[in-house]
Amino acid sequence: MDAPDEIIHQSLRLKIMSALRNEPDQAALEFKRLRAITGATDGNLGRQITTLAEAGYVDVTKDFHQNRPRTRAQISTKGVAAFDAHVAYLKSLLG
Amino acid sequence: MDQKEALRALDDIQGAKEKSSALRGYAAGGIYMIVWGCVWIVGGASGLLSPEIGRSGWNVAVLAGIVASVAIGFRSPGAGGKDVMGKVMLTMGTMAAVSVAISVVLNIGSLREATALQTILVAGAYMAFGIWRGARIFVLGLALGAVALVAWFFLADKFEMVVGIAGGVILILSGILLRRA
Repeated sequence: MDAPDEIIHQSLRLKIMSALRNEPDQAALEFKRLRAITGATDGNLGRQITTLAEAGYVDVTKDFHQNRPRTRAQISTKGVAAFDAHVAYLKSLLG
Repeated sequence: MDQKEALRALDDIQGAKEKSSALRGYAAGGIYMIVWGCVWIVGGASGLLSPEIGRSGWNVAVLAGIVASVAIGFRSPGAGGKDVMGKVMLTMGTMAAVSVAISVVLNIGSLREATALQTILVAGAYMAFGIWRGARIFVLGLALGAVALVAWFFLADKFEMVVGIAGGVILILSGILLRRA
């Protein structure tokens, strides 16, 4: 890879992808957990997750849990490959 | 993109990973704190009836806590993995065995001394665990140890009750908070 992944490169999206990639078995993370990890506002976090979902890097699931709406995001196979390649590119820049 | 930007991005990745791991640890650890909070309350409250019942009450409650913790650990895949939870339970079992061994060697006879020893050992275990899995767990262990020491020095005649109920409530509330993390 000789260029950064422009979708993942943005700071908040990078943190989201990092958190999702770090989940054991690439399990889904709840929106509120992602908010706690990234420190982002609801609106900004929602926008960036949508961007990642549109790129096919994450899968978003909306359902009800204990009578409350719940949104979860899960990194896709394509997202894992893209994130790993982006990290490899970053490391290559450092020699 | 230059080296400085790459370094900053890798720092962001590492930061998000660490935060994510810590929050996962909090959520997984919460249920154990609730279980051990119940153990504390049952053990402490049983001492109000009589010293003999109190001694048996603590033993039964601790045994039930260990069994419940092991059962939860092996029924929660993905919350750190069975291997990790098995090791956590083994650590708790070791702590209990150490507590019994110290009690025998030092000839600890009173319920008050035995309760203090167990409380401080468990507080220390939480603090040690917290160093690896998240600052909040460390703070909880510190709070539990502080309750035990304050009760030991300033509330000697109500020591078991204070440690049992206050410690139990701290653990249960903390467990609920951690599960919501």
